Amino acid sequence: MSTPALISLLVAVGIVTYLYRYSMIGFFASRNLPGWLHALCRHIAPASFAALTASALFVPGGEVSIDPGPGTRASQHEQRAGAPPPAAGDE
Amino acid sequence: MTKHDRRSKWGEFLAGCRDEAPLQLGVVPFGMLYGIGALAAGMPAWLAQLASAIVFAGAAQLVIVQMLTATAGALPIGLTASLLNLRHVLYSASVADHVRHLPRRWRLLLAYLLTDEAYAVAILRYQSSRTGTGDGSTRPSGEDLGHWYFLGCGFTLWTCWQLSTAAGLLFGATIPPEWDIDFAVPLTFIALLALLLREPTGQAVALVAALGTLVFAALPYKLGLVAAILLGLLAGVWASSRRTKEQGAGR
Repeated sequence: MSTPALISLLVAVGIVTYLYRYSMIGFFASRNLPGWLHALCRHIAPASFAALTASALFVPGGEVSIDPGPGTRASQHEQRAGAPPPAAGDE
Repeated sequence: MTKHDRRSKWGEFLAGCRDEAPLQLGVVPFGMLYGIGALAAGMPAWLAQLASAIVFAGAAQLVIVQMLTATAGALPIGLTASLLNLRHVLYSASVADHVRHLPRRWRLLLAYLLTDEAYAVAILRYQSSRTGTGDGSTRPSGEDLGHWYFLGCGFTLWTCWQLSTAAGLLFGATIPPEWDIDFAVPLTFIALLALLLREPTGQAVALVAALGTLVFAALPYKLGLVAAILLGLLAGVWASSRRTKEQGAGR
């Protein structure tokens, strides 16, 4: 990917992420949280971190793979040696 | 502002820094892993460092790097990273009630610092300071300085993330490949999870969400993570309502 394309991608992801982070803080700044959402909030942290942990540990190629694979130095050496990049799925 | 106020704000800020600090044991290798991976994926170093400030989300940054290495297109990468980060909407809802009394500039700043690691530590503090207030409509004294604590957590994490990214970019090539620093990623999340599992409902929620991750693992674009979190939330609502009914029946 060219550097300008990469910059655009990273800025876009950054903006989307910031909007996620501000979304509910902004929305509920001037109105009350409905009761059901208030009840749900207690469960958000355990649900999120359990899913992230399980994903990191058990899902092959999970969002944070613990196997040396794409993105590690092993693959860097492979690429230097002219090996084809790892298949990116079935396309 | 009185001298006392100033000192207690500073005290809250430092308490946030102190409570966030142990998590950095996992964050430092996590950030280095990202820096090393970014170079390997052909990202210019300055851009990799800038991304740590713009995106400021470790798991998403690692996925971007992994997908770049696998020569994926911009659209699938953007979509995957965006869906992976969707959980931040939930974090935002979770802290909304605690920061709504703040001036807008504070809310804008704290939103930027709302990462997994800062959220986990800050929300524990907010929730423990509100225990026993029923519907949460009354604000206990002392919580008004909670944003300084949150800022301390966010500041510590931000600084550490930038420095560890830089360390990965600068020294990554000198780290022997047999040093398997990949362990850091699950370690960080396990540490966060351990902080949160003190009550039975939280344990049930965590178990269901973890099982959900395995069930939904095949979904594309990391949708499985979002689905698993939602499943965990449903389990939490169900468990809470059952407990309320039991308490009602026992009366």
